[in-house]
Amino acid sequence: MYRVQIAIVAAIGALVAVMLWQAYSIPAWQLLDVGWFHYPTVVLWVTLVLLGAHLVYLATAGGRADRVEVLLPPTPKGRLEIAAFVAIWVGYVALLVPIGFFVATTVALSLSLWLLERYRPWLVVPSSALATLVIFLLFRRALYVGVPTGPVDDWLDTLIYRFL
Amino acid sequence: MEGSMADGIALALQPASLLFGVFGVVLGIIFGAIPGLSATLGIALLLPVTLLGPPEQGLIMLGGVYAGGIYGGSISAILLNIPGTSAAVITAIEGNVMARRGQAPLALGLSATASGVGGILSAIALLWLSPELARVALEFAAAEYVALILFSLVIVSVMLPTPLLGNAAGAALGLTVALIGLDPYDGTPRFTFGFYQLASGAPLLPLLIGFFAMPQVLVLAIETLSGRKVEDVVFARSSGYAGIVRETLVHWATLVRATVIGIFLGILPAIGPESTPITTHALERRFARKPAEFGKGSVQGLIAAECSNNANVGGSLIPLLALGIPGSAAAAVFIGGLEVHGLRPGPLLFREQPEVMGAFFTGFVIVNVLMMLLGLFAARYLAIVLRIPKGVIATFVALFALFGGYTAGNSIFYVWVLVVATLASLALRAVRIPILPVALGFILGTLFEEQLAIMLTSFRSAEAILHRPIALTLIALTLGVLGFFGWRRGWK
Repeated sequence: MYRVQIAIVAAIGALVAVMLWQAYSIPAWQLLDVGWFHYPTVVLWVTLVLLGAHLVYLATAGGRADRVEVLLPPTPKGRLEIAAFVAIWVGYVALLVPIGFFVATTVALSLSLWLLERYRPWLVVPSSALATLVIFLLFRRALYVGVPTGPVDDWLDTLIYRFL
Repeated sequence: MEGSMADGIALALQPASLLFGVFGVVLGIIFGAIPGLSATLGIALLLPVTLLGPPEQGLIMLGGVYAGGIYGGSISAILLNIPGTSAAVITAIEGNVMARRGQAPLALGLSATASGVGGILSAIALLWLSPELARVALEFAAAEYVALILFSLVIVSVMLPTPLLGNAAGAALGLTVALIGLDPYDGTPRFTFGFYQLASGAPLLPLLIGFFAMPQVLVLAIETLSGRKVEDVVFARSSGYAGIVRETLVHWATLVRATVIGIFLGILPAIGPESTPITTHALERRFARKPAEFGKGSVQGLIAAECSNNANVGGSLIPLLALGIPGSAAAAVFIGGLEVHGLRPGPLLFREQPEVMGAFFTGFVIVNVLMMLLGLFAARYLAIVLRIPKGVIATFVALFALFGGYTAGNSIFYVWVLVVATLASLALRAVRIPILPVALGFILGTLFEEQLAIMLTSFRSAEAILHRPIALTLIALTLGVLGFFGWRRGWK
């Protein structure tokens, strides 16, 4: 875990360093006579220094002695399941636009509920579809929130405007 | 100004405003009662819903979620010995012992009345102090703002229990994220990494949901997968309301002390409702005639804890509305409720939108009264939500959180920003950098840069600061706080 912590701080530091490099590379800024004080570069340098100091703290005995707040479940099976949970929702975001709200949401809800609560598939799929339909109606008719649409959503929209 | 704020009272008393208030309080209590959910999460999720009506109705609803969420944590704390929110840790100690003695209705009732008293008094303090503070802040120039923002960032860094350097690094990272967008001097897009959507800055709503809501979803999912089940809720028979009223009146001095401390700690950035009850409980023990009862089902301890955490809610909104500086994580997310309506928190808000402020203040008093009544008469029915499986909650909260991000710009790009913010929040948590300073740095970053630029342009020499007594006092306070707490913590 200790190495993971170092890697995370180093990765954040690298991102800040890239921003710092960008700050010095933007031509418009180079043309400006900003003197010694240029706010973005000062903030980025301060961030880098503080991250470095925090890294040193983590690397010292004092830092290591602290209880590390870890989010991961203790067992490998638990870690695999939580990875699957994350994958379901990241996959949902990725597929939402290509396949539309109704199908993507029904699939994501079904998989997530099955994974977390082990509900029977014959129960969870229709329940998820029904819940998605209710949310769809709520978004379209009450909250007026636009959702990414696919063929099923267009068909539902037509039905809603015909009957409601 | 007063006349227009008085107009807001009528707005707050409109049926739609009251309905938003009731909805907010009920949802807040439910969110607070379910372990793993919180007031901050509730506010973050409901930010897009505020767009359904005028700003004052949305703000009243968010005020209801905030107050209800902090109170709601006491329900599961008393009945299950599981604090619904971290603000209810002391309530779990005192209240659950009372519940096991067969005094669950008394504990729930006292929790509701103490929370209500603390909440109502803090709402009155909010109504009275915010406009006064805003009036003083209208005299502020750039130097005062720069000093005040620095003070807030330093206070957050020294007060949080996580390592000092990590807290400071978090605040600096927040300022770094606020750099994304157009350069205020020359209009050049900076640090957008090729994403034109970032030209107007990193979007607030997806970032706040990613920082505060989605990590909680993962915590809930992990708890579900670890097989931690919610115990069955058992109620005792009610002993009537006379006992609740009697105990509340007997402990009036405790209520006053807890309210004052709660409001004061709420005004300070970083000291949210989570740590306030611990301070108040420890202090109240010194005033108690029977200090040995504390920790063993003490009525006085329960009242002090519950009153102070709800008093903290109003307190944390005072610097937010008057100065634009949030006093807690939930208050930081609350800013989203103002910004989605194009309102910028700070002293000008009272001059430009006095009727919205008047409506919110009135509405905030009303939601606290509603919270007390709901707590007194309906807590046992609302506690039914404790039986909802956590996996179901995690699934639906994930869905609504992702859609909260989507509504920020009706684009999937904002959902990806939310995903990145969630990952960043988890990564920072793993390296013991708390998310609150990051959020605070991000929220205050743009204002800080603007005011710093004005200050540097208007000051011809460093001596000019000597002619700004408020700024000078704030700088001295900042250095004093940093020196004192840094020395006390051994700079760790």
